[in-house]
Amino acid sequence: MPHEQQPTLAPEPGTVSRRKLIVTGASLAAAGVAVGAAASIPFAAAESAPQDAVAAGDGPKQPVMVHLRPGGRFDVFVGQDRIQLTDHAFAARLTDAVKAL
Amino acid sequence: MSSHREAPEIAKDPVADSTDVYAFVSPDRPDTVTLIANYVPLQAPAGGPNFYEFGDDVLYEIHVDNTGDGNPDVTYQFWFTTEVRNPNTFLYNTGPIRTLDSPNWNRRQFYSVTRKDARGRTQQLAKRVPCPPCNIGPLSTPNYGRLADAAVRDLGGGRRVFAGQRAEGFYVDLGAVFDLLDPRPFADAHEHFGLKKFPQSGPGVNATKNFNVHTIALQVPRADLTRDGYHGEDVNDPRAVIGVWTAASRQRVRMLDTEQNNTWATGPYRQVSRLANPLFNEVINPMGQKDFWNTQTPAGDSRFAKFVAKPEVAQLLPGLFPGVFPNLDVLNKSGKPRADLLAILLTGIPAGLIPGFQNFTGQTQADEMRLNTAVPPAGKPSVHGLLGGDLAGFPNGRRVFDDVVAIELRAIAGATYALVDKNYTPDPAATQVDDGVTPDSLDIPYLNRFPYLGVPNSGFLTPSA
Repeated sequence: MPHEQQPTLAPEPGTVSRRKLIVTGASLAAAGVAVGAAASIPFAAAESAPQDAVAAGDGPKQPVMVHLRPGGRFDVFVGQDRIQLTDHAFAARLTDAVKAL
Repeated sequence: MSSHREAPEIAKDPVADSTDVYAFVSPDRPDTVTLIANYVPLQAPAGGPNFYEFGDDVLYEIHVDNTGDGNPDVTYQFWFTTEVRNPNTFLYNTGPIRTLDSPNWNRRQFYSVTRKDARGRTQQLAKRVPCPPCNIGPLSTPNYGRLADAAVRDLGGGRRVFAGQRAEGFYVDLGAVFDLLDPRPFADAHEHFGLKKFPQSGPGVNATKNFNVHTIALQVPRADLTRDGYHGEDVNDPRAVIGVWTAASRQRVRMLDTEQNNTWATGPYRQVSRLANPLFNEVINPMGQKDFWNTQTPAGDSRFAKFVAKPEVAQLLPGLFPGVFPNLDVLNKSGKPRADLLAILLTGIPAGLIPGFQNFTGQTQADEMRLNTAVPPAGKPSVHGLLGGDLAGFPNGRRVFDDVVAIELRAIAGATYALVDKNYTPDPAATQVDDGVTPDSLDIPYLNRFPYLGVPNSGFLTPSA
């Protein structure tokens, strides 16, 4: 069974490069906010994210799911892997966005 | 049931729901071991037009521990892929399916088999192996036995594999067991709860008789599974003992994608079902632990040992059958842990308790189907396995015909406690109680060759399961 990558170095805001990741929707859950790939909210991704999954411009080649956990922590699911990162700024933006729902 | 729908969450996910595990030295090829994991419970044979199949999105595994640490040393992975020939018909088949590549068969399933060892080495043993279709009826699947036989794939070196529908081989009187544990043969002795109308004693009824199941069966040389490739005849050699369990996993995230109008999954696989000893998660673990247990590996099973040491069923029996289990009642009230059950289910039976036998894997408590591969197949098997004096039967592995309900019920009732406490006398009822169902209740016989489970019930001929 594929292993999860953890713990992964969590880049702080400002140290990550910016790529566009398209997000289709968001849903509030007890643990946080789950966000799917493929729509419209810009996302600050980690350098360690799989290159083929978050290629700039034309979106990921395979589905990417992002789960926002408390504390600005993100689980990013792609293929059979998971990476973890922390981005307080993006977490705050997402939280503000779903508050409007 | 054995482990059909045994936990709240997996009961909602039948394609990932493991129902039974079998592990035995192959009676017709005693240099090999047969491992069977069944999934997709309680299939009504006529359940079309979308007949039963494995999940393309489920990772099915059979694990073997040969070092006694509760972790897998050998794992076989099975990945399934479904192909639809013609999406413009609702039909599973558009004519008789006489061969596995029949153009009349519209929805076929294939699978690959991969072997992994403890060092992480992987070897693909087979790919694009066809499953047989479900047994629909005499028009759609004529000569089903021959059709299914063609789905047994020789992997070379004495190895073979099969994945597809089979007749349910597990037998149990579910209606009686789950009506407050009221086996019909012993109904007269059951607590009446003040009710005036009460069932009278009678024969058991096999509730799973007409159902099918999906089977993954693998037959490999004993040396493929044992530590150091041991394939000798010394029953006392610890290398002869293996522990087997199955697990099913799903990716952590599933998306119902309205934009692309499909469903996809992503992320690491997470275990959602596992099974070794029948009834462990069903009647040993309490409701609040069942879903969690399904996500765990046997290596951590010491956390569940307290439920084995003081099983709820044993506590209930003296009250449900007043005056029938007085010695069990005393044992229960003594607070002594059930060392017999802890050995049978979690560590294996050490040498010295049963003459000429052991399947002990060490102190690590792990729910595994332990099989001493040096014990040869029985010439005259007993469905009661070890309790019937048959060292080749459950709980030394499990054969397709073993009466695991009777064996476990009797063990829990105290029949095996004397193995660990010579001063204990089992209640007479403890060696007799069962649900009154035997393999004779099955209309479809087991096979005397791989994959041993019988040809599935036909939808046409079994219109009402």
